[in-house]
Order: sequence, then C-alpha cells, then structure tokens
Amino acid sequence: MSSEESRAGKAARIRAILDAEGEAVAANARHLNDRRYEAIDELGAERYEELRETVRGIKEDAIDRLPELLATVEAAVEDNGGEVYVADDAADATDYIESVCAGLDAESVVKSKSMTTEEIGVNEALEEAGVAVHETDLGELVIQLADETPSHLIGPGFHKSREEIARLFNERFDPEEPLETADELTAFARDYLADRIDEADVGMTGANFVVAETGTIALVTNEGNARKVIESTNHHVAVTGIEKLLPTLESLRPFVELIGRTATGQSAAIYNTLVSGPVNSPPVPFGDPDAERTFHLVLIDNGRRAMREDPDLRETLYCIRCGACNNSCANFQSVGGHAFGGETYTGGIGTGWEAGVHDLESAGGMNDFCTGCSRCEPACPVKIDIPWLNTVVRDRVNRGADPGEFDFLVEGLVPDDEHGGIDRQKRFFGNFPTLPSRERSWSRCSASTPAVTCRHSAARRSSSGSRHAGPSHPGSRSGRPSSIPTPTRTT
Amino acid sequence: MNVGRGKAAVRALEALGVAVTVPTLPPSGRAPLSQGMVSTAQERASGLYAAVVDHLRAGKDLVVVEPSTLAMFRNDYEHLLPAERFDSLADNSYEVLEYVFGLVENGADSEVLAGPGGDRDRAVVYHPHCQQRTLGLDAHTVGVLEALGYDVVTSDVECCGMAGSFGYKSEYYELSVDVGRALGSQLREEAGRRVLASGTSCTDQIDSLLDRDPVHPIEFVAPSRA
Repeated sequence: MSSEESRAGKAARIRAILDAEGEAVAANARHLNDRRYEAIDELGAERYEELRETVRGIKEDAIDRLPELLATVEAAVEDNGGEVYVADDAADATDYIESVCAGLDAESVVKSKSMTTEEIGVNEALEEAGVAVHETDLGELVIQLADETPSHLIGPGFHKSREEIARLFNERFDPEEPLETADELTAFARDYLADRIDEADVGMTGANFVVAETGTIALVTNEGNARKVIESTNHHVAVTGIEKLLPTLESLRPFVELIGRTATGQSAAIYNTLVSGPVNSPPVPFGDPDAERTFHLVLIDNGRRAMREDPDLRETLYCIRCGACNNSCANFQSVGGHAFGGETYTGGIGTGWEAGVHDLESAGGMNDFCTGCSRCEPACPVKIDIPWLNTVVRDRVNRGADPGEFDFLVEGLVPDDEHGGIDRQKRFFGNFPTLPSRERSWSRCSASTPAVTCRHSAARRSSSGSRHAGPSHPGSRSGRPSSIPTPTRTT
Repeated sequence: MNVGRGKAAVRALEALGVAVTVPTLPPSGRAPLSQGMVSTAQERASGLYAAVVDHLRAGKDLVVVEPSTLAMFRNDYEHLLPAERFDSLADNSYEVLEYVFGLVENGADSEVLAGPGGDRDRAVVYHPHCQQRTLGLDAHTVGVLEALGYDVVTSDVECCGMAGSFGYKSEYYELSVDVGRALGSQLREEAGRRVLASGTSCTDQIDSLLDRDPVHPIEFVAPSRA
C-alpha cells in the first residue's frame, strides 16, 4: 500500500470521526477546559504553581521509591485485613480477579470507573468467565450499552450527545415514557443501577491514589458510585497501576486540592472517598452472621516498571489521569480520543501510556495528533513535558520503521542522520529549512525568520517562577506580564 | 519568505535606542524536532548555539521574532543542549514585543512607535501564538499595544490549528481547518478590528481561512519606513 493511499485512508477516518463525534467532543472538552481556567484563576496563579511544584516533587520521590512503597502498602493492607496482589501484566491481573470472583461464586460485579481496568480488559475476561459486569459511572454505562470504547480519560462518553444517549437508552430499555432530558436519563440510570448494585456480589473500583503507609485508596467521583459499590457489596476489588502509590495521607492532600480543578474545574469533586479496606461497615445483608467483608488491592505493572527505568517514559508515571491535557488540546477538542487515542489512553499523555503499557505501534498510530503546541504543559498539574514525550515516541517510531527498498539510494544524500525508515513526509518537513529558498518560497518557513541580536549591557530579566512553564499563566487571559525584561539602553 | 517582520523589528528597536545586529543564523531545529528527528534537532541546536555564543558573551540580548523559534531557546533546547548552554540561551533570549515592553517599562520613548490615529485603526484583535502563550509572553504584546493606546481584544483558543507543518499534511488538513474554525468564528465576531498575529503559522491559517490579512504586532507598531 503506497503512503499516498494510507494518507487518504487516515484523512477519511478522521473525517468520519469529525462528522460523527466532533460536535459533542468539542462542546464537552471546551466546557471542561473553560471551567479549568476559572477554577485555577479562583485558586490563584501563585498557589497553583506552588501546588504543582509540590505534587511534582511528591511524584518524583514516590516513583523513585516505588519498590519500598509497594512493600509498605502490602504490609499496611494486610494489617487492615485485606490482600494485595501485584500483577505483572494484564493476563496475570485478570486471572487473579477471575479467581477471586470464582472463589466467591460471584455472578455479578458492579464497577466504578477505572481506565486501568480498561487497559487490562477485565470486563471481557469476566464476561467470558460467566460473570456479569455492570458499569455504574454514567459515562461508562453509556459506552457499555453502546459497546464502544472510551474517548477521553475521565469522560468516556464525551463523544456522545444527549440526544444520542437518549436514543440509546430508549432502544435498550424501552421505557414507558421515552427519555429525553438529562434529568430523565440520569434518574433512569440511577434506578437501573440501584438494582444492579443491589444484586451484585463484588464491587470493583479503580483508585485515584493509593496511600502506602495506611493502605488507603482515594477515590474521586462526582456520583458517589465508587463508595456505593464498595459499601453495597461485601467484596471489594480495587484495581490500579503501581504508579498510583503515594507515601502518606499528608502527601495526598495537595493532589486532592488540584485534581478537581484540573479535571473538571471543580474546587473539589463531589465525593472524595478514602477507603482503608476492608471497610468497617457491617457486611450486607445486615444481620447475616456468616457475611464478611473482604478487600483485594490489585496493583498492575503491565509495563510500568519498565517505564520507570526508561529515562523519557518515566515521567508518564507522574500522571494523575485528570484529563487536562485532553481538554486543553486544540486537536483533541476537535476530534476526540477515538482519533487521538490508542488502545486505551487518549490525548497527549496517552502517547506515553500507550508506548509504555501497550506498544510503540499503538502509540505511533495516535501521536502525530500532538503538534507540540505546548498548551497542555501549563495545564498538567504534575508538570509533565507532554510534547517532549510525544517527540520521543515519534523518534522511536521513526527509528523502528523498516527502511524502504529504495532508501539505500538516498542514504548520504539527505542532510540528516535519521534512520532510513523514517516516514518520507516527516523527513521532508524535518529538513525543510535546508531546501533551497526557491523551493521554499511557496510557503512560509518559520525557521528562516531572522532572529535579531541587540547590543545592550547587562540586560536582565526580572522574573518570578519557571522560565519555560509560563510564569503563572495557566490561563494566559492576558493579565499583567509577570516577568519584565530590563534592558539597559546604551544610547 | 516574509522579511517584513524582521525589518520592522529592526526599525522598532533602533527607534527605541537599541543597537541591532542581524547575523545570519542557521535554523533552530524546530522543523526536525516537530517531526521527531531528535538527533537532527540536536545537531541544529548545537549549530545555533555555536553561531550565537560570541554575541551572547559580548553581552548582547537575543531578540526573536518567530515565537516557535523562541520556544526552542526557552523550552525545547533543555532537552537538546547541555544545561549551561541552554541556560545562557534561555536567559538571554526574548520575544520581540516582550523586549519592547521591557524597553518602554524602563524609560524608552514609546512615542516613536506607531500608535492609533489617522488611518490607523484603534481597535485590534490579537491572536497570540500557542507556544508564546505557554511562555506567558502574550501579556507583553498586549501591554505594548495598550500602552500605545490601542483597544485590544485577545483570541481565546488554544491553537489556530496550523501548528507548523501539521495543517499542510494532506491527512490532517481537514482537522486543521476544523480546529481553525473556533478561531475563525471569534475573529468574525470582531470583524471591525485589525487582526494581529505573532506566529507565522497562525498568519497562514488566518489568511487562508478568513482572508483577513493578519500582521505581526511588531510590523503593526514599528515606525514607518520613511
């Protein structure tokens, strides 16, 4: 297949997604992005930068000490009466979860939202083993009913409009009165899910954070469904990546202060649930002397340990999966995670995750949607250099590709030292400034715009904050410049 | 190739009392970096540094017109150059309107720049470049324009959609146009205002989508050629 065909194919696929999902994605992503700016303005730029520094430091330290934290959390959870299982990969994790369910004769599981469970494919594995799985997060319920994949890190059904969701519910459930408004849909879902939760044997959650010292998982939701599935069933399986470990309860606080704001623009999520399982609440049904609560914390490796050893991918592990990079990305706002996404993860940070937990091919298939515009950099609460991650992955993809059969003719003639397999279009644009100006004159060439040097003595910039992360400008709704050059004039 | 903005930058800076040198510099490496050609970008970065180091050592400030080039010096070069070299470039490079802002704040006579009046519009709509926004440098451009008496409205999108070569690639063209639609509708709402844009890519996008003939703020405020 020639590269021309595959470009047309890609263009067609993007066009189809723009047509089917673009409007809903744009409305949802832009809304959250606007709310994020407001929430950070309310927090104050200085406090925001302070918190970012703090959480970045905590994550760097936590990932550094990961083996120690794993040992600590295992001891703490066992002390509390729970169990920890560290799964090497997806199959290892799903096997374990299946065996827990089998041991309990579980027939149904109710879940709150967890991208890590999507990553390991636990729903499919359990269904194959004859265990019914019911998503209780409203967005996850929507895509479960629609048999689709999530299109965003925190809003899996972002690509669906209210009208589409209403159509879906009416088709699937055939209610007496067709459902139309958001209130009606939510009320219906609530009743439907209440029944599923009532019937369920196992409650499965993810974990936004895991506190090693106390064996506590922190769950951030707007629906309270995480807490509900835990309290309403006797057996709680929490599934999350090993990178979620934080050392202490105190270290959790700045994350909780930030995550609501960067994710959805809320000063705090509606429910911030801390669970040091198994919980103390009496088992259900109340009064049953044989009932007992159990807690299983399943911590997933699935490539994370290798990411930790990788000097460029390591930073991905600092991610708290808030979705700010998705919402702040102009390309994502237009096309959403079904284009700018891989097998599981979406948006700028998705590239790092896909490369680390799946493979380079999957990461390479999505990462060209990152243009390096850098708007996600000040949006990321943990200061991950997302454009750089995407560049590194792009470089690895370039290097991994097979050289074409005629590339040997070109070797030595191109003004770069790149691998022979690099996509020809990329090679052309990458060497653009070296083309004779006659060939470039049809287009602007940004690299040729002259930089100008000026003679000044002792020009200094009086600045506060990090020079390249935009001093306190998450919103850059042009306020007063926070750094002012002080050139000294010589005339 | 648009040299108008470079010439305007020189005129404006000289009028503000700055002695300006315009050396011939090799490309910054933005193009290969954007395509994931990291080792080529590294070579370019070293080459650029070698070409400016003597100027920097002589105490000169490096003023940059193209925001994506400045972003290399102040952001991306951290991955491409040894720390000391990155620091010296980052600490001594400025976006052109940032520099003008600093000059005016420190006493330079802004009257030498072109303010509103006569046939010049007072009302402008400014679209900052994405990487420039991330560096927090849109505020300086707005500051200069307002100090000169312009009534400035700023666009409120994350990116114009062109993003270097992205919008030129056939497989991404439609997406690039879709992204540009948001900016387009904001600019259409400000139909009465002159459009200013700092980035070359943004200028191309605005031009081809809207036919609004945007101009770089430095070209807009530079004293006239006479």
